[in-house]
Amino acid sequence: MAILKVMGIKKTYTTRFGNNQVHALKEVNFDVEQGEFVAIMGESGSGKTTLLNLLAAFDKPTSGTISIDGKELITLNDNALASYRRNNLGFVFQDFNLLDTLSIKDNILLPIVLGGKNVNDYKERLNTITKEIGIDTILRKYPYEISGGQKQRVAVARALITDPKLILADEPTGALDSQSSDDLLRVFEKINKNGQTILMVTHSVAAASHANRILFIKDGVVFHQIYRGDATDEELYKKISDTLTMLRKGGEN
Amino acid sequence: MGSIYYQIAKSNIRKNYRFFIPRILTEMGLLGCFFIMFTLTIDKELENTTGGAYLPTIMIMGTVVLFILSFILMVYSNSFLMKQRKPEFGLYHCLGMEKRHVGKVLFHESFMSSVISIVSGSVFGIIAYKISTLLVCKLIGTEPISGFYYIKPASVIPPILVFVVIDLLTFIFNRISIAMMKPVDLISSGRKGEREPKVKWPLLVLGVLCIGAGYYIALTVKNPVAALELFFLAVLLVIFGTYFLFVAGSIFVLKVLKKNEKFYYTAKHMPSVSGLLYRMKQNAVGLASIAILATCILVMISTTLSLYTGMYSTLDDAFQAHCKVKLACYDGDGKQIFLNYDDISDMAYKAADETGFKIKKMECQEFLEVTTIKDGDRFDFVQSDKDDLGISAASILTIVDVDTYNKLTGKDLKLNDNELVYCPITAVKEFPEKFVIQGEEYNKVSEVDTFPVTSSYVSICDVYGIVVTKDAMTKIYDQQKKVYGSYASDYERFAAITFSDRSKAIKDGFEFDEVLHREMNDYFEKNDIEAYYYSDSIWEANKELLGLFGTLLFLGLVLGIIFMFATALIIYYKQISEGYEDRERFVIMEKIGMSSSEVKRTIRTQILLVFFLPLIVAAIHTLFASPILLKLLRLLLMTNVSHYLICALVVFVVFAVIYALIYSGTSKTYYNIVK
Repeated sequence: MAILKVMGIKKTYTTRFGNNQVHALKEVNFDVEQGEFVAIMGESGSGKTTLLNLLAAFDKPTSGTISIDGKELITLNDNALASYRRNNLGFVFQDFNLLDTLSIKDNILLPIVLGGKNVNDYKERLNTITKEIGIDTILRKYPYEISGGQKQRVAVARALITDPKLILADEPTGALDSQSSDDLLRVFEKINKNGQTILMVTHSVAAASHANRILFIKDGVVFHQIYRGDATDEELYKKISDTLTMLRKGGEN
Repeated sequence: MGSIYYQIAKSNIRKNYRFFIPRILTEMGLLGCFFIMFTLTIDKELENTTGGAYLPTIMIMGTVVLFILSFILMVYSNSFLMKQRKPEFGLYHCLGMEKRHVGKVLFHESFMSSVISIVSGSVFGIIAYKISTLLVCKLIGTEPISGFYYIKPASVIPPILVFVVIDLLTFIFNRISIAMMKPVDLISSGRKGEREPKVKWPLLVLGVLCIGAGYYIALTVKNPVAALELFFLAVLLVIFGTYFLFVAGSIFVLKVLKKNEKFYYTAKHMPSVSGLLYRMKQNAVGLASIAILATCILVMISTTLSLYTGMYSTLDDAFQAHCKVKLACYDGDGKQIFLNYDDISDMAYKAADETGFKIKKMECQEFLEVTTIKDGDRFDFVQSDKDDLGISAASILTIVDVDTYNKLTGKDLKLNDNELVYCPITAVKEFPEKFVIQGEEYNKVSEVDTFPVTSSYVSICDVYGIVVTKDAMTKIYDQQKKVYGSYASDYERFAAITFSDRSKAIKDGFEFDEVLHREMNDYFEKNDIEAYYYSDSIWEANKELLGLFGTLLFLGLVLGIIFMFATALIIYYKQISEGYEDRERFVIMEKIGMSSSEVKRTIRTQILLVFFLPLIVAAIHTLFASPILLKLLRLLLMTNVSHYLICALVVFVVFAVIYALIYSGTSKTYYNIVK
């Protein structure tokens, strides 16, 4: 079953004086199935971030529909969107976006609190998740006391706490060194094995090589996609590199 | 002046208007008010008008307070400005400017802001001075003289000089701090992670003790003179206590709130409680300052306002008779002689006829006032080693003999030699069964509410009115004469005149006084008495009090306005700096699923909490200060408690409204930054 359906998405920005139109996304169609780990790749300006903003409902498409678990996002108003985002989506950002006024534990519990749910019902889940991704020993600390890799794992825990249908990750390894990146991607693999659907936007080949399927965006359209099949990470890495090279060459024509 | 540094400085001021405009306005307002105060201090013409005599002495206090406040506020706004702009200076550095170049930009900025502030401040001061002299003249009941309006160099230059020096000092300070800074400090935004603050128990205990001690003094102070001695101490204790309590207590309260999971883990409370806790270190001092400034405003304006508006009731209390003419005089050898009451009475009626007054009542008041040291029901005459008798510890016995008492009140009281009738003249809540005066025991036979003569000590210490037999009074007179010697009291004898029209007495009493004075001098000459005419009258007191209370009210209002301004400035800077800090947090919360209406609600909770705290603390401080303030007001003859409380309430309501306006105004800036 497709958990995310993107159909005929267009996004057009009009410049301030209204005489210039920029087509950030021209025609995007794709589905994400339950339990998939999908990476979206593309160069700067290809429309990756626009797409993610639309999926997260931070912005509305010019035309086309996005439905998550059968629900069309366009029909929801601001308040409903906020609660929808809280209950069904989990976010992992490049710059972590942790609140430095809250302890690690409270940062993870923040979506629960904002959703008006009883924190006690989630204590057990908190323990399970933090143990699984290896941050159960730092719960009492504050964001400034831990490393970047740990921060990002806290952000993953925060995204997981509501048991979301889909996790949206925007360049999650962008601010991490290679070792921390690797650790984080293993965490992603692990939670994906447990059944979590993940959609990750990245321009890092190493990050994308951990996914099951890779979509390539160029000039506002989905240009190409690769399935992992039986390939190992290394083989996939090679495949992705080749595709990117091909894409770049194609751009020159 | 077209140098690149000048251009940069100009655009910097324009771009950083959020910081520069308040700074310029502050300097302008302070300079203007400083100018008004200073000119009123040195203005000789105003000093020589009726009621203007108090201006210099009281205004010089205002000038000193203002000087200190100006200095503090300018340093505060400067350090805020510099802290916010550090990253900007860091950027210049990265772009290849040397420190001396940054210094040049800084110089042009300071110079421009200083010139704008001082010029506009002078203009503002000169205009506001005209308005305020009109106000002062109205308050102290004198005709405005055209001479005050002209600005003299002597009154313009010193205030300007003060602010030039302050500006120069802040510039030098800034220049040095830039020179001392390492480039890396300039570049890094200076946002270091801070550990969650711990409750500082010693400070918390100290704060509670300080405030407790201050309140204890205010509540238990015995009499006005003691109040005057202890007031400053109580104020200092409460100020320090407030700072300690805000710094330590706020963290304590927030920690308790955080421990309560049911309360803490809700969308409404978690962001604000954690946010407040996180920056309470900087916040607490600002909040405490606001609370203290607010308390100052409330206390200053409610006391001066109650004095001024309650003046007629004060006069009525103090002057049951509108004019008292002294009949006990001294001849050339220092021997006490008594004037003939009937002669004086004739002269008074004649003077009243001549000046169109109608005398309602005229009587001869004869009494004795002696200083005693009171211990339980014992009243003793004690010769102190020191020059003064330690007035704060003293109790005054105002003694009337029973014949005079019956004559003055029309009652028919009979007493034995060891009996007395008691009247607690000042509101002393003790009613001894007997009085032991210098070893002699007198039994109390009854108590009365009103006393027929007015003591001149009511405003200073406790006064006990007693009625005894003529013999007993003579005995007391002799006893105290023996102990005190040349400091001993003498019999007082006054002709007390009450007119039928009080307001006419206040307005035209001087004419009556003049005629009676002339008559009496003739009388002294005719009877070959060497004596001076002495009268104590409601019109003299009115003139004095109007001058004094009017000046005090003016001081209260001007300082109140300036303190209000300081409060507004602190709140404004607080909102701005917090706005920039909170902005990031709200962006994050919106990203992970908080709607913008929820964000608004959270912001409102946080703002209201911070808004009400200083106001409530100021109200509590003012309430606890009331007993000591009322004692101090008694020194100025004001005894009307309910009038003071009404004034305090009115002032509080008006203050709360203005405070709310300031807050909502500055909150807009906060919202604009956060949005």
